[in-house]
Amino acid sequence: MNPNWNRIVREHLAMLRLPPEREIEIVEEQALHLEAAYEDALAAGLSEAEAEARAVQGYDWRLLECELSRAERPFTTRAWRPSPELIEQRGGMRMESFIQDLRFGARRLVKNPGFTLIAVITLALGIGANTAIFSVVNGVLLRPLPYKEPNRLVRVYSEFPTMNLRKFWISPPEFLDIQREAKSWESIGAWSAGVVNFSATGEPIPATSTRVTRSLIDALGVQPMLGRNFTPEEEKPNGPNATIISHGLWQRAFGGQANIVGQQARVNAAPCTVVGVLPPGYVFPPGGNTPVDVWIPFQFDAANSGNRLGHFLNVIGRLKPSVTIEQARAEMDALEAGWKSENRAPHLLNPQDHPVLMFPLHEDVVGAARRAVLTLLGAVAFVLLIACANVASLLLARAEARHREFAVRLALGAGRGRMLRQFLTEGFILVVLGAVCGVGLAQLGLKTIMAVAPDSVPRTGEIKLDLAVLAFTLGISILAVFIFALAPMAQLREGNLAYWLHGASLRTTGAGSQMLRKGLVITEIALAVVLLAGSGLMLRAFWKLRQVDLGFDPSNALSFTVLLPPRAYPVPEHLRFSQRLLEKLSALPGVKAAAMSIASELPPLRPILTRDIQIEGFQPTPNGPAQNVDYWNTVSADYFKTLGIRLVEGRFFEPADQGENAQRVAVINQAMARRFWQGNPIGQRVNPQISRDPNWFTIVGVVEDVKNIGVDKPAGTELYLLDRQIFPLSRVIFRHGYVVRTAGDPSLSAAAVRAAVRELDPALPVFGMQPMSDTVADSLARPRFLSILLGAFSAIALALAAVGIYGVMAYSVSQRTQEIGVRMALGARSSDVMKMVLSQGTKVAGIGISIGLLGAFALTRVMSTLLFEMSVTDPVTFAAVVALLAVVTLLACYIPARRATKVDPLTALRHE
Amino acid sequence: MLDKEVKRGSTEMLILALVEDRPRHGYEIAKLIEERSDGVLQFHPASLYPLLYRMEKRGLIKGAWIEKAGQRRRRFYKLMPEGRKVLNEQRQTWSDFFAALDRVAKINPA
Repeated sequence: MNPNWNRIVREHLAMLRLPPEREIEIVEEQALHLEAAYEDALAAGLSEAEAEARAVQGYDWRLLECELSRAERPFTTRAWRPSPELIEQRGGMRMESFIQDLRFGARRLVKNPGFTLIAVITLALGIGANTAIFSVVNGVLLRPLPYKEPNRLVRVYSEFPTMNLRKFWISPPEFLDIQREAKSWESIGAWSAGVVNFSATGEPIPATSTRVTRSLIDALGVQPMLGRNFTPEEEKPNGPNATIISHGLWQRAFGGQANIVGQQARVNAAPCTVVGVLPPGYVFPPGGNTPVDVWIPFQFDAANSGNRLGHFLNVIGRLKPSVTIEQARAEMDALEAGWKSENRAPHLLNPQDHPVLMFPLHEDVVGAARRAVLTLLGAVAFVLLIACANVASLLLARAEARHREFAVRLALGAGRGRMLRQFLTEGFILVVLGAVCGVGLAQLGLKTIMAVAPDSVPRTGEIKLDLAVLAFTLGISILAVFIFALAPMAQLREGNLAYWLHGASLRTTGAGSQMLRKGLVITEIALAVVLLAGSGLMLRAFWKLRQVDLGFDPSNALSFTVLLPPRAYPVPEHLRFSQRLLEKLSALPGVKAAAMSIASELPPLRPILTRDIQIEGFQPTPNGPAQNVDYWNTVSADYFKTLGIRLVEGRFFEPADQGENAQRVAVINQAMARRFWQGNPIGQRVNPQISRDPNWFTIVGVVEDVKNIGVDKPAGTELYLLDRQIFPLSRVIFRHGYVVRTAGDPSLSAAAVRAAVRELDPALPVFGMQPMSDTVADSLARPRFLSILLGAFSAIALALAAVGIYGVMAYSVSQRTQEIGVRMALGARSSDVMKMVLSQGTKVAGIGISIGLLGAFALTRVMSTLLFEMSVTDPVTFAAVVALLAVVTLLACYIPARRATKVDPLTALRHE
Repeated sequence: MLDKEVKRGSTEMLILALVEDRPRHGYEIAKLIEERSDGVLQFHPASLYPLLYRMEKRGLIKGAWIEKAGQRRRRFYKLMPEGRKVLNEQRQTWSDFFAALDRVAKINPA
């Protein structure tokens, strides 16, 4: 029987997309030629097979395709294209043949827009997610800190092991001891961050500020771009007032005037000379996301360096070039031991109760975020692998459909290398398209991440798509090509050649190929399980965080800070100001209550404010608690009512407590009650040690614990005293936090609140006004960031895995059409067919899920520190993941299964 | 083997010459070129047909399907007036060219 010449020709010319009537003519004429050649060969005595081989092999389909596309297309759309014959003969023209491969590949991809679109979108998601997260890794973890020789910078803390205070501040006398006696440092400096009222010419504006020693600027190694560092004179007590400002403030407040150095400004109403401007992009504090605008020198008195109990300095040192951090630690240990034996002052740094801690600055800044960021990188790597597996699976299906083409090309002498190159070229085109879209997606994604969660990780200002990131994208793209483009090559085994040539069709591909595709889908499902388990755990931990009882009610509450310049508000004035402001605020429409606290920030982002106290009748024991409170607080009478803090025992502050000769009273939290008293603390007395004479305060109430420093942190002990009773005794506390409880949306009251402050003193700026629910949200920025991203990545992974299993099942059904037809002809019911297909799908899904669960148990362990009060093997999460994947895969199998039941036996049996 | 360039330049003339006396189909044209040149001129069908289509577009030849009982229908190409003109021109050009070659290099084109 003669070969079907028309079909052979048509298959070879399909990609030319000739107009149908023209194609019929050309196909027929070429078929005629082949047939004539075949018959000539038969007449010359060749066997049928030999004659067919001679006719087919004597034909150069690539050349024909090229020549036809030139002859048949309008001249204008014709591009110059060297004939492949020429290329093969001249051998050296590699580039041209690469271009030709590109054209050939591009034409194939354009011909299959559905396939191309899915592959490109899949790759874009994978590459885009990786590019975005690598930008974060690069900006946060990899890039050196923006200081001179940053690897020599060391962060120095103190520690109170008995009070469980790690990474604690250092007091000025302690800092001066270290600076004077430690020899490891080229320069060691201290700072303390705050806010100031800054005015250049007109109205004061709130500005972030930091007090620093001049040695800090030296230690960081970045000098002012205009002007100079502070002088020793400016560091002396009562020395000239000087300030260095940020580049941003110079632009905002002074319009970037060139003659800025030497100009006068006011800092907290005191006149002050601008002596320097820092360069743009100067990041301080290290890793911080809000840059400091105003720098003021500390004016420590070395002779009388003050209270050894006042710990508020942050310290950074630059090691001498030859000194390691271990040597610096050893030196510090020796110094501490010496100071202890000299016993030159009470409360010295010492190795037992109050040692120094040192960490490389980079580790200190990014260490806490490292695990979170690397977890994300792991997650996106999984997404990319799933994407590659999906594209590989798609390419395999296509490769099977192209067997005849491959066979003919191999038979015509296309080298295996040339074929491989063709696959790689097609993969290359897909990946380039995917990478271009992916980088776009990454850019968009980064913008969204930074907008949604600017404070979720340190150094967000340094996150950007730069060359290092693009190099990474290129690297993973090349890797991706090799992962998925080689899959079809695995199908090109020599032995299949003759088989394919003899008209083997789509429906008879080998079991090996099916195995390979199933393997890919199993991999995808397993990876998706791991990702879903990780994000499920994170989401549940985040949900649990949201359920934590904060101890106060953040809804319908607005908080802000006011800074009272000590010159304008000496001791009695600042209490009066506070009382008048509270009266005004309480009288505002829509305001239910207002209160003041001396906490510089309000919960749940309130830094620890620890203080030694004395407890009446308390017997200290060596391993027992120190007489100390974690959160020292002074509040106005309505504080508890305004924040919604619940009473446990006794009473709140009352109007009677505010009288001139009223009994001195205190309220404590439950943690404090538990720590220091076995029974009822009501009626017990504490001395807060605010003056030389003992002042005993009687505990009148116990309130529930408030989450001061973070939703996920233990509450700590807290002592509340009343403003009217404390302010007259203590030094000026010039930073006041206010809370206003409103009837409705608190942000609607913001303007009225600002106006109330302005009425009292137009020169006072208001800091950080925001609804307390936003502050709570800010405190959950990192877990929310992780939950959102992991959730998004696993949603992508799930969708890709679903598409993967759908593809395999649909393909398998289309291959088994004939078999299904036979079964149905022999009496199988639709439900049997449905069951058969579904069971095949469930088997694949089951294997994938099982492998994935094993992987998840092993891998989610790295997340343990990221999960709030959760086991990494939380059974609820794992059960939910299994159920979700089971449902999704079943749905993905159901569509092809239903299609299988619609097979008409007669059609199927005719289906060859 | 003749140089490729010469072969390419002469191909059109060969085809025109072969369909000068009667219409022929593509396979026949290819066979005749090979036979009459004793195998010196070989023509790959992959370039022959596209060339035929181009010549047809330029109006040098015209193809028509001829059907015979019990056979595939075949496309025969016949020479058009424009083709005859081009053929004569090319014959003249080649004749001049060979004469010149002969004068210089003593080649007899026979």
